[in-house]
Amino acid sequence: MTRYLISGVPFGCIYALVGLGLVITYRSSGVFNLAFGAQAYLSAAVFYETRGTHRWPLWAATLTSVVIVGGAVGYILERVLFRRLRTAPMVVRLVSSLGLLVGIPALIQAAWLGVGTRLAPPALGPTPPDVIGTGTDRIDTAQLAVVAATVLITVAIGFMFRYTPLGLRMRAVVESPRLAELVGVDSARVSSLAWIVSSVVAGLAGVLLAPLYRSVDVFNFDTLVVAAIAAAAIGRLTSLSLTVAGGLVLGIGQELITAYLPLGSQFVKGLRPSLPFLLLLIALLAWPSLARRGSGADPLAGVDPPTATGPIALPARIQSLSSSSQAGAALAVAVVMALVLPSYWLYVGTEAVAMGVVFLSFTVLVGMSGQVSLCQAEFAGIGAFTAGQLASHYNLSVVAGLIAGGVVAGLVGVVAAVPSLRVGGIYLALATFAFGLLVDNLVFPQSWAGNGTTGIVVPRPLIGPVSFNANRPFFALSVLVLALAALLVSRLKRGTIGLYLGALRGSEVAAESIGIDVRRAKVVAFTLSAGVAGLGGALLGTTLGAVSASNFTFFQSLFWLVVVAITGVRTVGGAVAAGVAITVVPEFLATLPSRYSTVAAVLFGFGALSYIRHQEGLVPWASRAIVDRARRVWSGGGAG
Amino acid sequence: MTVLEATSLTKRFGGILALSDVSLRIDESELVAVIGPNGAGKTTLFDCLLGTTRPDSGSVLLDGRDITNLPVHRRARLGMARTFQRVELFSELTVRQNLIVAARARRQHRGLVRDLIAPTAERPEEQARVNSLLSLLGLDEDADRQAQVLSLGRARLVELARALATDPSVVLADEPSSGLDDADRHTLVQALTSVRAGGTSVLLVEHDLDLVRAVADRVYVLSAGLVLTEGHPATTLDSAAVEAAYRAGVDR
Amino acid sequence: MSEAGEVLLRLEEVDAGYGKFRVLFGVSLTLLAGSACAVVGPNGAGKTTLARVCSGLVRPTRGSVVFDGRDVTSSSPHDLATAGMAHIPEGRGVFASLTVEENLVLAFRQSTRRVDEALEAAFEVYPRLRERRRQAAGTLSGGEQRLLALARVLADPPRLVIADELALGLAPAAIEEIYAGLGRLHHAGAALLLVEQRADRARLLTNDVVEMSHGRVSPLQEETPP
Repeated sequence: MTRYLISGVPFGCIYALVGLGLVITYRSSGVFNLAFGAQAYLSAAVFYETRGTHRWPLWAATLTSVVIVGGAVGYILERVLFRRLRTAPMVVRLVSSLGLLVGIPALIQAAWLGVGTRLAPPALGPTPPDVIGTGTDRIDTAQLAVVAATVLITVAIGFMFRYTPLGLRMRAVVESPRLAELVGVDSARVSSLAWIVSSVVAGLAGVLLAPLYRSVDVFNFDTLVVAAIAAAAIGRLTSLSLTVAGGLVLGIGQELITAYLPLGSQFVKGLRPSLPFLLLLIALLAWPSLARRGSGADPLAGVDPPTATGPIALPARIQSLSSSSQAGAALAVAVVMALVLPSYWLYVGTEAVAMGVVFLSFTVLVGMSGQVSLCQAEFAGIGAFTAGQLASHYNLSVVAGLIAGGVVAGLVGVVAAVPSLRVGGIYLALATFAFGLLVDNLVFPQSWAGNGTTGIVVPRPLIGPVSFNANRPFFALSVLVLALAALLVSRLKRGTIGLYLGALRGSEVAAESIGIDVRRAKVVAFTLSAGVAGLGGALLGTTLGAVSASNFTFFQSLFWLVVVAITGVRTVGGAVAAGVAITVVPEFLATLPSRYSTVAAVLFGFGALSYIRHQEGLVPWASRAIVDRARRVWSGGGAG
Repeated sequence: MTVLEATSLTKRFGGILALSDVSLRIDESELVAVIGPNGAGKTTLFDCLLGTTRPDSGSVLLDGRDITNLPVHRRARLGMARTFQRVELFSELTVRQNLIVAARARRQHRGLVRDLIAPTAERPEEQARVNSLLSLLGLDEDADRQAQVLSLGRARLVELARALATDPSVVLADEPSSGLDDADRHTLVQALTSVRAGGTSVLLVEHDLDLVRAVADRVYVLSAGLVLTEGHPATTLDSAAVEAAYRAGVDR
Repeated sequence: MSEAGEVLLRLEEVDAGYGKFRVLFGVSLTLLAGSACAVVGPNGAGKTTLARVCSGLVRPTRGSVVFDGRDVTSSSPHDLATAGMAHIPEGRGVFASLTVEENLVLAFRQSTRRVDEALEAAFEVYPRLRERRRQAAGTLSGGEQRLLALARVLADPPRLVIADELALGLAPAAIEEIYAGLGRLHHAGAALLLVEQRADRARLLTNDVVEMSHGRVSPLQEETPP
């Protein structure tokens, strides 16, 4: 027992620290800062360089990596970005912090550390850590440092909140920023300070985490965020002490699962890392009051109205003109590509087309219904694995496999839609995220699904005499599938479902008041979206010929959302462009030296910040600019 | 004929009695107003009628059918429409689309299948109805503008038009005049009058007594969760008892 | 600094609202230093928005606000608070999650150097608050919460106090206490801008009563001479 406590508590402490940061920033500025994972990684990397590589004294390395770098990044993010987003729509805040979660680590790797994990990171204390005690009851100094630092930080933060003037101001701002201003408190400054404090804490968590894994690996920092979210959810996003308790429960619980459930089962292996997600899902579904919190407690909440959302529509005729001309141009390009491209680029093109189908699933859910899902990669994976398993075991033909992939993913989508009936907004996004992570850990490693990182083959059985084994006919098939999917989505968009979902996005209460069954409409949107993602995943799997769980991880779910937010989540054109961007940009960058392999993630991650200005996406924005220019030239010519 | 009838509605929140045995009736083509000071129970009454709150006891009948326990969207399909105090338009849709979606939702077309087979958004029967509503409320010029760019006065008219697009037997209007300037208020009075002339009943919750005087056939005065009195606005509103209750209600 | 009798607050042709929702239409108002003025009118007339424009919570879309000789049209609320304007908002004007003492200390730290003295002075005026100093403000009764909000400014009166319907929903005895507090503030030299539903109550403190309706201001016609 002691043994599991010793190994579980340090992890729990780190979850608790980042959880504290999440709660403090969320309460004081309304932003759910997923980028803390990236900030933790940054501090860990700086500490690795200063302490590990350059042998700085411990105090100097800690001060630099945690306090200076951590604090400065928090300050800058708040000042230049999140302060402006206070009343912005939830999707905008979410996409911005996701962009940073993707972009910051990629930038660090590209500009400085290089890819790959750094081993044997320095610890706060001797490196490698000294071991105290013997047998199973031993603890090393790195673990001790984690516990000591967490106790210290928690006590310090608790003391600051309770007994210092700054803490009093922070508590006042948390309850009502506007009321605080009325008694003379500069709320904006206080919330800057809250960001600095919580960023320093996140940085410290990063420095502490690395030695526990004995490596500095981005992946660990992404999962850290999720565990911290779970801890914060257990603390109901308000209570600091419950958040700390939640972190500890998670850390210890993970160790206990390993200890007391039968070993060797694939399922238990997956259960251990999924505990946070399971708890997060339960917390979100069991406490719907979480989602209704916030505005009710602030007596002056009505003073700042939310900023307007959404693009200004083009006149219908120009819109249909531009979308049909886009479709025509895309098809023409596809035909030319099929005829002239060398085989390798044709393969890349097929991948782009398949990803285009996947991105159409975002158009349906995020674009049409305004709900955010962070598990689209899992739906795509379900489609790919369904097609692969059916083709390998039952020799199911390519087209039938695609359809089966879409149908199975759609059915799973019904399950994933359940949280949408209970919670909305950021909480729904988090619930889908937890759902996706559960699928990642519990389903995809199974041999009947994705077979873990080993993966499965996805053969291309014949349809009668027609073979799709060659790249050229398969490319033609893919383009056909994309064209059909695009047609489907644009018909949905212009038809009754599109109208209903458009109404829902504008106002749920008003949609109900005219007789729309809001719950049913949401489930329909989720199901259709999951189905389209599954179809795209199946097509992608068939293109690649072999897929594994690592093709469809939670990170892809986040990354894909970020990419499609840049090109345009509202339009078919935006989805197709996202498919092209996500495959072709890395191909071009592949000519760079290998240490720059993360440049694409840097571009997409920081590119996602364009979403703040252009929520319609860059593709519709650009095409409108072109149409406007053309009109101006036309009318100018007519006048002259 | 009675269109909407509430009988003995009672609702408690914690220890506070928000509605106490409130009954109310609206006949065909009648425009009825509910007035009362803050905290009189107007909002609770409204919510009970609409289905966003369930009363502890009492019943609500729409066209003779008991709807007390039906969810909001089912009531809407049976012919109850509403407008909101804080405008709730489908902000990214055009004005015309706002009306079309309302017309379609009421009739529950099999959306998905029809979308895929015959995707056209143009349906002649809807178009005709929507066009006539647009001209009834003077919204022709705004028809193809996005709802979110409208002024508040226009937006309130669109809400009214959207409610009418569901072809309701009764429209419940929640303080439609709040935030309007005099010109918009004048337009609103005309719009409400023409709605009633078209045969639709209206229940109005309103602070602006001048507006109530101008349009209402009958008025209920609520105070501290009770119906204080009801009757014709000219006689009811100017009675000393109402004046006193309305003024004093804020102190309770 | 303006002397008594000089203009302390002036609103000129102010339009304001929330997003597209316009509430005030060309409102002008002048308040002399040390004077008192009441704004009355029905619900939805724009009284609260007017108060919020004065204290910087809502920024006008047109027109200007001048406080103490300085154009403060786009100043932030905390600037105005430190410049001597105290706005006690409608409804709950205290921090429910903070204790009574913390509520007072938070305000005094921004407004005076002698926090302890101010605290002592506040408790002297309202001994009931001293008894409950460690209690969360959210657990106080509605009347006590209003007293607490008043106590924040009573100990060291600012130049202007904007009181938004402090009497709303209170029992007569509590209203009397609130009005006594407002009178004391006025006596200590603070100018008052009262927002009230009822003119008769406002007249307890001032004869300068203006009426608002539909987002516009007009001087109140007196039906019976006082």
